[in-house]
Amino acid sequence: MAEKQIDFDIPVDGSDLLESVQESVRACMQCGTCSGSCANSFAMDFTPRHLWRLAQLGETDEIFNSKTFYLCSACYYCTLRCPRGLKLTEAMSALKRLATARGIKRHRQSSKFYEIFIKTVERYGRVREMEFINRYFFSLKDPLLPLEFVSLGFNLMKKRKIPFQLPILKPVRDQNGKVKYFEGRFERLFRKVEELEAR
Amino acid sequence: MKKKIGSALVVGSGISGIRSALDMAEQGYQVTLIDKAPHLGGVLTQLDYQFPTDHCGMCKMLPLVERDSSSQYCLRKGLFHENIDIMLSTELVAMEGEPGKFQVMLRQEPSMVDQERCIGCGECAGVCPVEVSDLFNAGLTRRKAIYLPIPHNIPNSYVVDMATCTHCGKCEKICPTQAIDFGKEARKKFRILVVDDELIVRDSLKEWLLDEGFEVHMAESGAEALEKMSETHFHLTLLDIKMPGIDGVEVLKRAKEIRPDLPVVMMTAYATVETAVEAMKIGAHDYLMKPFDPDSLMPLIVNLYHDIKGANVQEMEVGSVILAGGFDSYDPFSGKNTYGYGLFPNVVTSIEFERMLSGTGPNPGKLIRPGDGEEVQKIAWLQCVGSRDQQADADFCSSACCMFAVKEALLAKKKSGGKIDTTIFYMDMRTFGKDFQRYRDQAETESGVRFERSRVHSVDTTGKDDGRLRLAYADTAGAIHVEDFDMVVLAAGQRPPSSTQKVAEMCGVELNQWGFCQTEGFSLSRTNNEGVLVGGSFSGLKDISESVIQASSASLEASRIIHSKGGGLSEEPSPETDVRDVSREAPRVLAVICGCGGALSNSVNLDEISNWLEAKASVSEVHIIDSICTQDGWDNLKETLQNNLANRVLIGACMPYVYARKLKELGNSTGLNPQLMEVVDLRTLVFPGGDKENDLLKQEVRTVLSMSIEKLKGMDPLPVTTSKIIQKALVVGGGIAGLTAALAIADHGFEVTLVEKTGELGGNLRTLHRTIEGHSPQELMAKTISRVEKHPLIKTHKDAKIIYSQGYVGNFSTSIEREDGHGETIEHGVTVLATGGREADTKSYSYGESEAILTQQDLEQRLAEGTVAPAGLASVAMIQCVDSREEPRNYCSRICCQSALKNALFLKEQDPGIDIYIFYRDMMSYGFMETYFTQARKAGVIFVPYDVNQKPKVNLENGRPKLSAIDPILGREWVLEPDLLVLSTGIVPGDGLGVAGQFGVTVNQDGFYQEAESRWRPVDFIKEGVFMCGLAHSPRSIKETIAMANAAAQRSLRILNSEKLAAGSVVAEVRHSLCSLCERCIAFCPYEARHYSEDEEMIVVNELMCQGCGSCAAVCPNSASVLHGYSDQQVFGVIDAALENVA
Amino acid sequence: MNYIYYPGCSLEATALEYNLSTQATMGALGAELTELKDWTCCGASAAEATSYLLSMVLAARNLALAEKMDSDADIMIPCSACYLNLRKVEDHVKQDKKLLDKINEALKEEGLEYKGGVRVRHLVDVLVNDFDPESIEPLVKNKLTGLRVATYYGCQALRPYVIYDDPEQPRSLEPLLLAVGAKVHPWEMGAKCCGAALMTTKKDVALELTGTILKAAQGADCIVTICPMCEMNLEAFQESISKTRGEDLRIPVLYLPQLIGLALGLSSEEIKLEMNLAMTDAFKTKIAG
Repeated sequence: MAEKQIDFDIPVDGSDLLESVQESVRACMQCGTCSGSCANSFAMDFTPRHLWRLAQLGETDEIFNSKTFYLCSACYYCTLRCPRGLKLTEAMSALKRLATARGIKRHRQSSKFYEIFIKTVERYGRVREMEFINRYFFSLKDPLLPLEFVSLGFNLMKKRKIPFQLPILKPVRDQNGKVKYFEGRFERLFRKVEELEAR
Repeated sequence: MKKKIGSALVVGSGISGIRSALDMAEQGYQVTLIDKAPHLGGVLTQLDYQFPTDHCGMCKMLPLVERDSSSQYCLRKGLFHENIDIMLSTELVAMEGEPGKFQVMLRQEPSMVDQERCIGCGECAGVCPVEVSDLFNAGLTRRKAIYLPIPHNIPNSYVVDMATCTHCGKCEKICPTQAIDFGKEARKKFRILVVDDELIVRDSLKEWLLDEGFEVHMAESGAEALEKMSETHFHLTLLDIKMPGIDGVEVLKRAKEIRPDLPVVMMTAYATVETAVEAMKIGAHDYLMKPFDPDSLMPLIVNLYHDIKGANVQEMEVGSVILAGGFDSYDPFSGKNTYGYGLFPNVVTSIEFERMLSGTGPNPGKLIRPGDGEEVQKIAWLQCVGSRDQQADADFCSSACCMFAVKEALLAKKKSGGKIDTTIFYMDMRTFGKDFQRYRDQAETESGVRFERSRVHSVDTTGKDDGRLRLAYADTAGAIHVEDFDMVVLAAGQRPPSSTQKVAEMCGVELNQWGFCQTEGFSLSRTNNEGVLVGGSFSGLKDISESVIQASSASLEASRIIHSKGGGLSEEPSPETDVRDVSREAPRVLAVICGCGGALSNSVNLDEISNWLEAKASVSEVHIIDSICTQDGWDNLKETLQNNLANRVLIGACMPYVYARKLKELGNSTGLNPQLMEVVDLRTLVFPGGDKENDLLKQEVRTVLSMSIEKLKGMDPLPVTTSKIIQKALVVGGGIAGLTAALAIADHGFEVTLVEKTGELGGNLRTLHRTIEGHSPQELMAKTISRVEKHPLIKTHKDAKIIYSQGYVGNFSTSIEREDGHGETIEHGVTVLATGGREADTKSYSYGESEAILTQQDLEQRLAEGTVAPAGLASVAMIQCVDSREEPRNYCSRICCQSALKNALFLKEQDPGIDIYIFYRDMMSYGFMETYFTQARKAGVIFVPYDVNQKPKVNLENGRPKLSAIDPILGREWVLEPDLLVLSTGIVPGDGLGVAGQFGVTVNQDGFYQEAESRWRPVDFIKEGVFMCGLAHSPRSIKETIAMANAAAQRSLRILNSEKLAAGSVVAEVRHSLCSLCERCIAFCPYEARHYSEDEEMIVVNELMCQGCGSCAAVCPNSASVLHGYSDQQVFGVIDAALENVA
Repeated sequence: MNYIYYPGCSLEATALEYNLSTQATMGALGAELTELKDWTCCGASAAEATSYLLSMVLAARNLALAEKMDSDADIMIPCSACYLNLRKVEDHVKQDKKLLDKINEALKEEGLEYKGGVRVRHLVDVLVNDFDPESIEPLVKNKLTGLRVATYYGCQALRPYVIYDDPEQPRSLEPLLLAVGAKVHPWEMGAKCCGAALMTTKKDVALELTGTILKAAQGADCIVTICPMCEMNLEAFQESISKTRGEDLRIPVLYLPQLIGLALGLSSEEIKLEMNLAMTDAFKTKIAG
């Protein structure tokens, strides 16, 4: 029997993605290798096995109420060891995507992090760490959070590790050659990807 | 001696190959048994203990009738049978022809050690400079390049591991019997041509090759080489690739025109390796890589020399081929190796652990940590390593490892007096075999083996330098535990042997997706090539009893092919030899002492011994003949005996076991019963290292000789009795087992009476509509019944029962009564009981109270009838192990898990929208069944494990079942209201008890037939001549039932095939004048060979069934029971002789 | 030996010393690195958490660029996350032709096409497989005798693709370290997770993981890393971890090419030792001696 290819490349807004996650863990036999392997399971409300069990049963709400998948640090131990060869780290990423797309409130901090990160990439092509970190902390609207990282930022600057560079943006001009607006480095590419994903 | 025209080749001499070979040989076929290893026995040579009895017992496979045709000693030590040619270090290299007439080509590795001459003294290994790891001890110990493959073999001769031997020649020089010969003399006539444009290469090669004793010629260019080749005949050419003018490849092409069979080896630098590989495609024999290092190059050249010169290639014709190549173990070091195997010394495989427990293992059976020799206190077994692991390309279960682990844990407990802490980490404990579940339960409750349901993800050290290992695992509820152990044993799964692909191509048989041999339809032994059968683990994953059953099934099918092609049962009359009756003559012993090529004569004064022997009254003559083991020596001995009036022969030499066949020959040519000949081992007494005082040595030699003389003096061999056989069979039971057995026997030309108690044939198959693999049981049933009904040799009685049966092997008489009141008495030589089983009834889970609650069989039947339509179902729940795997029915019914998977997959296929829940304890999807378990999960079937102490609850609400159960992963209760609740109630034996009583055989506590021995004689009853198969033995699938029916038929045929059967020469008899009829001997006889005859009012021994074990003689209070060849007088005489010289 | 060199965003900023020391050390070993022209972000962990296709396209763009330079080249990447992202594309498109088509449709916007050429290789893979420790030994000018090094491989250079080392018990760097005279600190942490990006989103969790690693490193003179994320996590929070745990867990953390560079006689300026956050005078003295 031909193996069904698990395709994670599915529009992120609907329930299709959850179905694809569900599909990808169907063969799970609850052996617990992933839970035992997980570096962060101590901090999780559900262990990975528990999460996959919920996925098998299609318990969407419970899955998204859990913070388990955002605690995945992509160490790939579970993927390495899973006797069923399931791509569990990728399934965790898929859940992160889904949570971002659904705008689930309790995951705001984590999803914002990724969202803003990728926005920086869209604008400049590379990551501008200073801008990214500022925008991230700003977006969280948590006045205390940045404080945790202040000393680090200070340290890094002292070591000249945070370069102050001017953003390289592409001017888009009108017929007269006047600059209409500045286009992000990857704006077109990102739109194209969105279009392809929507297909 | 009778000889069948048919012959068969058995490839692989593990347990399965031995079983098949013995089967065919006992039937009278000529069998060639080959193994590529230098020893017999396969993996079992490494296992001292086998589940479930925790000891061996392999000898129980030895022939029970016609015993004298075969060796009668430990089968792990070796095997000899008149009809079996054993060829070791041998591979099948080509096969042509068609079923019934195959031409096979066998290639035997050249042996540097003459097996006949080697006496196993070990001097060679003492001087061998090479040390490599010893695979016999799973790499835990080291051995030399000349070594004993198996320490306990008899005879045990050394072999040379050519891959590592450096050909230093030290062993050749030291061997006391000149058994080792590397052929240096012959090398002088082996001409090698070296072609290279570089002088320095030519010169150094010349020097090295001359040192090795070859004849060497040189050419400095391609042109010169070609010229020389056309003039002289070379045996080997070493040819440089890169040369100015005509290059090596061109020379090769032209050389092949001049002498197509000339072996050419290319010499290449790193840069031209690809050219060298190309050259091999156009006929080069091999290539060697520059720069050369003489220490590694010369052994390569010498191996090439042996390759070209020494290989023994043999062609023969056989009727069929049985492939029994066994399995390889998964190497946990390969792949991702998350368990640190090979990195942490205290992580071992189960086979290594097995060696560690063995007395011939690395620490003579003492269980210590391999890393540091510390005492072991705590061991973890990790199951499913390289099994049930798709990342290791194994969507299958290796079937045997679970029981292996339980056995090993119990052995560890036993060895340590219960002190060692043992834990088995598992996913599903697959205790699906007969009596496995109780064994597992007792391990837990009585011996304290801990069972932890968790797959451990990896093995770490503790971070301290204490050699201990740390396991972290998640329990079912998700809690993470960290625990330290002294040792971790990995249940390494099974893989097809590396040569499988090659063998399969050669024999034209298909492999399955995992590389094991694919079998056809409902057969476990038939391949797509009709004449090629498969036995044992070669088709995947079996324990011993299943291997033995399948091996016999394979030999049955092989025999059927040979028979159907006309090669079967015509016998060549064997010349009857007249045996001299010497019973009234006074003993006259001819004593012959072998000088053992000087080894004995140098240590002991043989003249003195000779004089001492001659002085004995019973000794008529003494001869000293050197090297009796050689043909010359043997001819000399034969001549001496022919010109002699002696009526006893004593041979003082070495290795008595080797002489069994030779003595028989000697008996035939001289007319003296081989029972009157005795070989005594003198050689071992003077083994090196003993350094005994001369007087002590002399005394020992005298003692063993005296003992043998005493034994010979008292020898009074009776003519071997033979018993007439009624060449007909009775088969009881008309299900697929009985039908298959009846056909198998009848196809060999014997009459069969088949008795079925109901009005219809087919048994359980009538209710089965598909198998999980997609085969049709209905088709199988229709075809089989039609064949049975049309078969001229099968007479079927339906609606008939057994009234009475009596008799013994070869001579049974059974009365049957039909429903219409008519009866009949049948005479038959063998009986096959196939009384079947049925799905168990139940009162659990409200069964019978609702239309919506069914058994698996009900469901299958209704789906077939159409009274249950998948379209109308929204959800289905199934509960496994209903009333099973707990007392009083504490056994696994083995087929319910596959039934559930089959029905679930079928429903999902019909309508993927149906929600299906399977509540289970351990899914018993053993072997390739595992892949269906995976498929069911992929299809969306939800599996919920439950604990036997917390079963699902079922209530009826408005006549509908409502089920509640705990999901242990989520830790919450499930409540379902399924449209159907399907119960897997398991299998109970059919009407076994009544029939068993009629035939005087026994059943176990669950009512299944009790086999003689669960592993080695799985289809035999203790009572010889009565066999069992099918569900009456234990629950099993259709395939497995058919294999077992074939095995039962095969066991029958070895008896039916002869008009008369001979008993062994060592049998018991009763001296009736001394017998008090206490009947103790009857109770103690393990073979049911004795009974009290009411007619004669005496104890009668059935000599065919008696195996000469001597239990009766030992237990008899009056010495009325006597074992031939071991009379009291004789034994006391031997004891006296043994003590005579002890000061 | 020639490689296309992909530094990745971190190596332009927080891991600048990794970048410079990689170039200097590889140069000293005789390798020629050509930086990938116009390279862009690999997508980091953020792309995958946002869009699967985007994560593929961002990484593939760099592969396409490299392919344009030389389709038979090895592209060498020091950052483990970048390495994995590019490696993943290399692997996924092999199994999924449709994915490749989609990627290329997106890449058209950039005027690029990816055909599946170039080999993605981690710096460690290159160091341990393309350079023989025996040939490195004669190049050592400043033998690191007695220096006890805890080798930290992290996750993504080892998993899920098992290419050049045991993903559970990695040891590939040991011959190299022995060749430069260092000793290997025996520990079990080499392949464990440091918490990665959780340091930003779930700091307490990441600190727990990092703390465990630092604790196990006690007894070593330094930790060696091969990933900017690991380096940052292990370096930057030593003070606060020491405070919470109530024991001094401070230890210098160096990038592998920094340490190798030192042994090859590069100056601490050349390997940018001053940029490391957790550097001790004791360590400086030790390597100077």
